[in-house]
Amino acid sequence: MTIPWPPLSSLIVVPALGALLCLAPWFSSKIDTKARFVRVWAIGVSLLTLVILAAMARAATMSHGAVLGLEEAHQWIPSLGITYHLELDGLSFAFCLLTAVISFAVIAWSAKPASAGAGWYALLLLGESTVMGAFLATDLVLFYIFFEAMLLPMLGAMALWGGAQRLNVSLKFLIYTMAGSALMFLSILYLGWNAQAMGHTLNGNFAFEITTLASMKMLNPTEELVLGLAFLLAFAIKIPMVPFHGWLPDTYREAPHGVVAFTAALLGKVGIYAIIRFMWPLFPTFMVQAGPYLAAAGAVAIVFGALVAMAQKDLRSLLAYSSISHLGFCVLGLAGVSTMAMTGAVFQAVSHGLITAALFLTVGAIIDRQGAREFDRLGGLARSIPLTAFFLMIFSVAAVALPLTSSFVGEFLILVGSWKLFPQWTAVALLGVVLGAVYTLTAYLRTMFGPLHATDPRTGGDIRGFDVVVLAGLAAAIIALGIFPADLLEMISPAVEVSAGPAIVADSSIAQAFSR
Amino acid sequence: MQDTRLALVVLIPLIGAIVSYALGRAAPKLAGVLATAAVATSFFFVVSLWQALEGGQTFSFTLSSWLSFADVKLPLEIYFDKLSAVMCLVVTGVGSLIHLYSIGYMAEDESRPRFFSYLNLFIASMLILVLGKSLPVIFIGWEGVGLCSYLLIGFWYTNPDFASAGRKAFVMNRIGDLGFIVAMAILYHSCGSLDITVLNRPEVLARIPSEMGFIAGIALFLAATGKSAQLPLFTWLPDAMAGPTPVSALIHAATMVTAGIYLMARMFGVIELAPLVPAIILWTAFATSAIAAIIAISQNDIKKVLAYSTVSQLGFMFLAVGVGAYSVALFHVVTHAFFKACLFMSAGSVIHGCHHEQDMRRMGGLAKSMPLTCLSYGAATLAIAGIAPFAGYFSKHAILESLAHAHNPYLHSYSELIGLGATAIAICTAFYMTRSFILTFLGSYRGEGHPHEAPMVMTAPVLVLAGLSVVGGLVLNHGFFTYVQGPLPPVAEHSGGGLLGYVLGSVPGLIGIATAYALFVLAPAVKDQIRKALWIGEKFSSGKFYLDEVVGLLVIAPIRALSGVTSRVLDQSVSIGTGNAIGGISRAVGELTCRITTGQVSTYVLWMFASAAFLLYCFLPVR
Repeated sequence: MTIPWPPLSSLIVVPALGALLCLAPWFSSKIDTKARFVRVWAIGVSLLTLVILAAMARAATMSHGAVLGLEEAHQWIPSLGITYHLELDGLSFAFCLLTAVISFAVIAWSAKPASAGAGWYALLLLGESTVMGAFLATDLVLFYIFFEAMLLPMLGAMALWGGAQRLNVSLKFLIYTMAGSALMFLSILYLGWNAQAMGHTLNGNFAFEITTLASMKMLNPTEELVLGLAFLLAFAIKIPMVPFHGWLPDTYREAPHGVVAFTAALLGKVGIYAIIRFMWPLFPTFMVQAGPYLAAAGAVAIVFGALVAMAQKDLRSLLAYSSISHLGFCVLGLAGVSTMAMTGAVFQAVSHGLITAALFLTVGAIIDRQGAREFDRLGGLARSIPLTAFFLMIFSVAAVALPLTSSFVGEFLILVGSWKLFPQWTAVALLGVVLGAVYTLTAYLRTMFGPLHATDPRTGGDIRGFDVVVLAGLAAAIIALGIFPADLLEMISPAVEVSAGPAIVADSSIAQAFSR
Repeated sequence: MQDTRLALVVLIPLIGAIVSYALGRAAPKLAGVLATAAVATSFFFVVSLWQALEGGQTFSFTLSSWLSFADVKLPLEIYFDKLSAVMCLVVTGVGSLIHLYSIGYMAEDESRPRFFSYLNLFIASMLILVLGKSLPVIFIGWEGVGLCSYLLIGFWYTNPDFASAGRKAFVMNRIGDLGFIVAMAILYHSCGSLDITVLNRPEVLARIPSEMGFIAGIALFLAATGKSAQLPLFTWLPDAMAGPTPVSALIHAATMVTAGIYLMARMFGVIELAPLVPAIILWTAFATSAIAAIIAISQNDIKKVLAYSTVSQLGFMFLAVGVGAYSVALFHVVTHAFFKACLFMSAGSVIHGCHHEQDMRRMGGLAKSMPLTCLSYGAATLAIAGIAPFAGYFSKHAILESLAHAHNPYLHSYSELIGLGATAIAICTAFYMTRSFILTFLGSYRGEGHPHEAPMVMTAPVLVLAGLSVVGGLVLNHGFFTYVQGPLPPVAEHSGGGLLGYVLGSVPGLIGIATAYALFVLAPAVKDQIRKALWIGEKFSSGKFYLDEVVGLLVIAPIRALSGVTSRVLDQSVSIGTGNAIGGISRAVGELTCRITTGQVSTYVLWMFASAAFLLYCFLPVR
């Protein structure tokens, strides 16, 4: 269904325009000395984007039982067959919603680097715009552009306001992700060229639109393998999957809190989204064959991340590795042809985005106000900062997937759904459930419980003001999704089934081949 | 039948948790009153529902469609039948009394609002656990009570040992939870449903492949060992005594720790799929019960004695589960809730009266200064010792009798051995409980300061429970087994009646009490000689069979080491390795680019033409 107004592009254009206007003269540091007005402006823009998204989804699913499916298509570079094609279905919607919520939270969060002014908000809004684009684009070239572009605002913010090692780390981050996506770009070109060569496209041009490409079924198994591996490498680095996570600990250590929250919550999710959106329809045979390996990778990541997290000595590094562990669940979930597990993987991705952003912001507040991030220099804070302690407890129990939080829904669907296909890897993943409780509770214990640390008498204040609203909002979202997940699940599952549709066919044909 | 009262049963304590905290911060005295009122209201609704239950009728209420999408149907639905009725009555009834008692016990603690908020949250979670209509809903309560237990054990969190004890409880429970999740996965894929009313149907159970049936049964039992503190996961419960004493009474004696028995009773069809599973349950329960009873003999902390006694009594309940006598196990859950809550609350009054002293070596002679508490503790001691006609006698006797009726191909002739062993444990129980009574209440006071009786708000609920410990068994004995026969399989006829039966059945308890009295009051010299003779036994007993040390050596240390190696070796080499590889590639590309950029115009022109030719080839429509 196509609706005339507002077009889907507004989700990309509104934050982008907002970012541009952040640089307007009246927001300059001379007039808006404390960057107060620009903050209100940016909050307003991010809120507007959220409202537009919600209104669109609501309008499109007004009639009972309607499946969300909004599209916007324009010719872009007709001679190359590149289109400007956006689609908002249940799968995109889940991730766009996450993007809008996290952008709002990070922008509204009061703590920002000391020297950051209007530029900070401009980069964050630009980040929102590009990530939205990545979640909406169905043309591979368009997707690739957003996939690369979304790095730049975060890299910029990191290079400008990161820690002492910021330049090295930014460079490492850049090289890692570029190295991954270069091969994917070549693969995209090959796909477009191949479509033309097969003569299936309009006007004999190239084609990059995903439904067009997927419907052609033009790849032989070898092509699927080579191209699939190239795509997978790009997404494995972005998510990141073990052992492609080398950029993550450094980045998460050096970047400003807001950038880490944004990056951890959103950038990796593009990888998860893209595997379902592009890889399952394009390379169904490859995905079915790669399933067990992906499941193994997911299970290994869960245990690996948890084990390394246990050995960390400071809050931020612990969160970084716990993130790797939790993302392992997503990878396990999208490894097999199971609606339950794959829907769970998407839900877990959304849930992880909310929880990890909330944790990074809360921990950031602790680090800033206590002036310490190492466990040895923290402890006993529950008494002096009860509100922070309360929120950290909620987000911690959400991280260990207690029922009635969103992550339980995701992990439960993934574990139960994967059990039938990969019982051995699901069993390995279950170990991560125990280890997750160990490191999360230990971190909480060493930060909040015990006697107040003696050597550092400086006790910073509690969170207050609008920050409380932000954390309360995130907590409410996490719990609401934990108690009433059905609406979102109902939106995700049909979209996931459409994407994995070709694979179900491939799966049965492989099964036939084996049975012969 | 949908009934809104059922939702209120759960929601009122949940709202109570929020309100008692919010208002309690303004007026701390109000917190306890509000929380107690919430649980009492919930109890009132439970009673009214229980009264309305007739025949095979049940009530249910759907709170949310929860995990329902596509063809998955797992709504958040609660369900009230006779089995949940029994559990709800215990949870809210005993729960109300303990809340009331806590008003007095916590009167001087500045964090009262937080305490009562957690306590109400616990009641709500426990009610979800026993009311859940499907395994995932039960799991909500299962994890919820675990969280509350963690929060309440570490309630006085400024003491790092207490906080660690909470973490230990949570993690050990989590190990059990793996079993719960595995069981759900197996049952979901085999039966297509996780609804408890569907799962116990024979035609549904028949769909489970036999080896999967075994794994599901063992997995469920693993879950139960975590929550109900059985081997190998029981060491958290004694440590959990770090929490305030009302918490020990409510969570770690009367309600939460019996959740494992409730789960077994609910899922009895799955438990009995493979006969090996009940046999494993029986042996585990026996070993746990025996070890805990032996450890309890040498404990000096009054709460530790009661904690090990709880582990041992839970083992007794699992003995009944192992022989398929689920209603007998449930009966012991109920009577145990009465007398063990009474014991813990009396112990709390003692600790309160002796200015936070828990060591029985610095007590003694408290019968004079705390007569009401002494009376309650004494009545409950007779009940747990299994002396007729006190409550514990009936349930214990029923367990011992059901052991004699065991039919399990894996037991062969061992069932008599287990019966004999269980009788020995019963003697042991009477012995260590009498010892604790003598050390606390008889002789002369060995501590400092002036012990005083607890206030009315504490003694009144304790006396109510003491009354239930005296008459509860006698009253319930007749109707109980027939009442729960709908949801649970029927049990074999049991005797236990008649004056002669009472006397004979009380013999093990009397032996234990007499021995303890002889050794601790009449002839202490003999006791010392026995201790010397059995020094190895005493060493194991007071060292708690070195279970914590063994687990530390065999489980925790290797995981720590693995974590260190993964972090320092694996992660670093991966990070550096891939980093270098990628760096190497980019440098190579860079060098290649350098070689191309020679600075000679002719080379550039050559490249330009080559590129242009390639582009033309690609984009020109004509070939």
